Amino acid sequence: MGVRLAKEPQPAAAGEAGTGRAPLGAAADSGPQAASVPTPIAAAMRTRRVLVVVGAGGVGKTTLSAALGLAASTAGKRALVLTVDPARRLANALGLQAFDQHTQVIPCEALRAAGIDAQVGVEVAMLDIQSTFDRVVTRHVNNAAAARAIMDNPFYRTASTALAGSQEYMAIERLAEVVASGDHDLIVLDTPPSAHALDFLEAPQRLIDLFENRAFRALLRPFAGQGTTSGMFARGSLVMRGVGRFTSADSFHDLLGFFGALSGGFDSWVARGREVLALLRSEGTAFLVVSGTDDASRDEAQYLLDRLRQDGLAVEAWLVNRVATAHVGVLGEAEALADHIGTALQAQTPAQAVEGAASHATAGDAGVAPAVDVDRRAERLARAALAMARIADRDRTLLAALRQRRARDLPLIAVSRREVEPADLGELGQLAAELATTAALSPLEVHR
Amino acid sequence: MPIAIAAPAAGQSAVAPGATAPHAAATRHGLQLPDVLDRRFVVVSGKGGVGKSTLAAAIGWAAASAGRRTCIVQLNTRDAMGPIFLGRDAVGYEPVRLDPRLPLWSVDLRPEPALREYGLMKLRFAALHKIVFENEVMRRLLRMVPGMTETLLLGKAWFMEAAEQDASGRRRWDVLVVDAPSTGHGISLLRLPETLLKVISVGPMADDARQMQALLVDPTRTALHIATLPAELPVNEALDLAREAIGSIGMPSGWMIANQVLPELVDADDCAALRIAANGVDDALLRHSLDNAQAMLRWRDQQQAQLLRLRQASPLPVVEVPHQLGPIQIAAVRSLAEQLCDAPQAQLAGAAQAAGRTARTAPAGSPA
Ligand SMILES: Nc1ncnc2c1ncn2[C@@H]1O[C@H](COP(=O)(O)OP(=O)(O)O)[C@@H](O)[C@H]1O
Ligand SMILES: Nc1ncnc2c1ncn2[C@@H]1O[C@H](COP(=O)(O)OP(=O)(O)O)[C@@H](O)[C@H]1O
Ligand SMILES: [Mg+2]
Ligand SMILES: [Mg+2]
Repeated sequence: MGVRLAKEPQPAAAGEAGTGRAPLGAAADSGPQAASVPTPIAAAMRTRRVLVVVGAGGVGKTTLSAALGLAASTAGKRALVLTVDPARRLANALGLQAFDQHTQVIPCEALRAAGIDAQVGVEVAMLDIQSTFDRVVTRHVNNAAAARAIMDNPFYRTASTALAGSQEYMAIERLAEVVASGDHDLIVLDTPPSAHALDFLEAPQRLIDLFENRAFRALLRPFAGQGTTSGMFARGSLVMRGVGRFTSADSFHDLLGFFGALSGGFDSWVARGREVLALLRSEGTAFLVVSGTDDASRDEAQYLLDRLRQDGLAVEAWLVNRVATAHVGVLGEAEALADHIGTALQAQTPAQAVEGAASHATAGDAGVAPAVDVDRRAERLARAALAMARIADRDRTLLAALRQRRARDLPLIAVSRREVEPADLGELGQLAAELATTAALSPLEVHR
Repeated sequence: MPIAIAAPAAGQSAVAPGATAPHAAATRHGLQLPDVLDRRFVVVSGKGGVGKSTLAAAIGWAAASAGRRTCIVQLNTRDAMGPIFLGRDAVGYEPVRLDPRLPLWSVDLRPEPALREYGLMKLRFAALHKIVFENEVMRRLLRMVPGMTETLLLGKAWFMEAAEQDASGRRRWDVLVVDAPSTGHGISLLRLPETLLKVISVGPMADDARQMQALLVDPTRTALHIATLPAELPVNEALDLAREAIGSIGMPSGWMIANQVLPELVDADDCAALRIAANGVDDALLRHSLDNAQAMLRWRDQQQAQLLRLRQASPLPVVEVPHQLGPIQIAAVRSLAEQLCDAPQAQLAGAAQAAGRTARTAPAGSPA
């Protein structure tokens, strides 16, 4: 099936109007003026160069990042999706080999073959901390001996990828690299799954704090081969005797040696860290906060939103992912619904009876309809219909609460739960189309 | 269901400190606590969002119901236990009681207080601690040390298992349920002792790392449970995690817990019958009921296909727990705990028979 992204935004196409299909509020309320306002995602594609996707684990960050890349392509933008350990199947769909840090291009033709109305190819890269780290070291440490000292240091290789916040730091380091290359109209950064989702914003600051500290730099000089150790890091000092209760002085000096070897590059690390922080704060960068429809991920998204805004970072929209779209109109008494269904099952028109007999025949009973308890069947159907409706209704309730609280100051976008996990190009293309054409939910008034 | 009011004091639990239950322990709800849930160090990991915290809550609740002094250990994350049990964020570095009627607590470990606690313990004097750790250089340096956060978190969890005592000198915890980080970070955490030992091979920290490693692979104390959803990507990730953690690190296997499994509400014949009955009838209610029922059937079919794949490939026995419709609060957690204690016997026996591979699917040391 061909997926076309409308050049003109359409109101949210969450379901047939008037059927009570959640989350219908979007289409109904967005009204006629919606057609002239670009959807939040379409607007973001037009005005931003970097979109950072944040949210709790499992809400769909990686999936939506991939879809955003495809949406960019249909809008004629050259996009790069920078992703962190994507699921293997998703990686394959995007043409990535596991553990390959090279940028892959999904050519325009391949996208079109998958039914996507692509204008240009999409680039995808997977973050590899070790290779980014290697590159960073060689860049910042422009002296072969120091670079070798780093590579030979016991902390490097075994532990550099575990450097506190290194995954987070490398994610934005890589972002700075690709932004500097200027090869793309849009970069989508899928953030690492970290305990604290904003670690990656704090990582450069931690680095700057240490590398800029004058006392630290002075103390480190001997470990960069300049002078003999003195002060708190000298063997036998009170501090080192204390450290000895934890680990051998040798191990601790290995650690200092690691930083000592890096120290020639401290200034350029610090400059880079500042650059990256400035980039994140710049006009061209915005964050997309993603949640599911559950309380836990909603609370996490709310927390992230508050933190980002406190830090003066721009949040483009809140995407509520995997919103169930079953009909909520069937909600009511289970018994009443079962009665209604039961009556219909019993009162078959002659044509229906023929169809029914045919379907039983194919089921293998040679024309003899198996005896089914119609009441039990009606009950089962009612329960299934209601269970789906309840799930959709719960999602609708959560959305309504969010709309009351949030929709006035932040575009709120409901993304439907797909029946099939969006893990191949065709399905991701459909998700991309939905993202690009879905209008923000309008604010919901509290009626008193 | 009646719940006894008094919680046992430390050391009063059914199991003597240090010993593992020789057989499944009965909870006060008449449930049998299966052996793999009745270890001192129960670790739950899996992909983000699959229900690790919810299942850790259920496992903790089950253990506490069996009288074990239980602490659900969260690792430097947003508190998930407070919202479930108390309706608000409540848990921090110090243990917070989750249920006044059960010996159930939770902590959310943070690197800074863990460093302070560890530092004070080893240095003994606050004045010395001040000189060594509370200066600007050390503070900034330690935040950047490779693996520091993981070392402090895992170290504190290990300490809680190995040595933490209450005021009267009794072992403080019978059971620790570790709500581990999701796959990637989880693996680096579980590999930490190994990594540490590659960098530091002598000294107190190396000794601690060896003991942490010994705990992680000790089948009498530890079990790893992997949470997953019956969906394609989560199943892939769960299988990868099993390969790494059980296969490569050598952690003792607990269960592969498939969370949020839909019940079989309708079958294809039911839907076919309604489709025929609704055909040509102008009745929106019928049409919508049909749509919903069919969507439910497709969803469940997809889940079953993924469960089949999971069962065929999982080196751990697969245990299913249901999708809960209501809010995930104490009632839901309790129901999940009951399912975990009850269902597995039947599920595991059935699965083992059906697959004819009892040896691989029987949980280590499970009651015969
Ligand atoms: N809109 C959607 N509809 C259905 N399934 C989805 C949707 N978005 C994501 N998923 C599924 O949800 C799971 C988590 O998505 P993923 O992108 O891996 O999350 P994250 O990167 O935030 O951890 C995956 O199984 C993915 O296929
Ligand atoms: N069996 C279940 N039925 C319904 N919802 C569930 C179930 N298990 C977990 N959830 C919900 O799914 C979301 C993710 O669960 P959580 O335990 O926080 O996952 P994790 O700790 O793996 O990120 C939460 O909102 C939780 O309430
Ligand atoms: Mg991801
Ligand atoms: Mg959790």
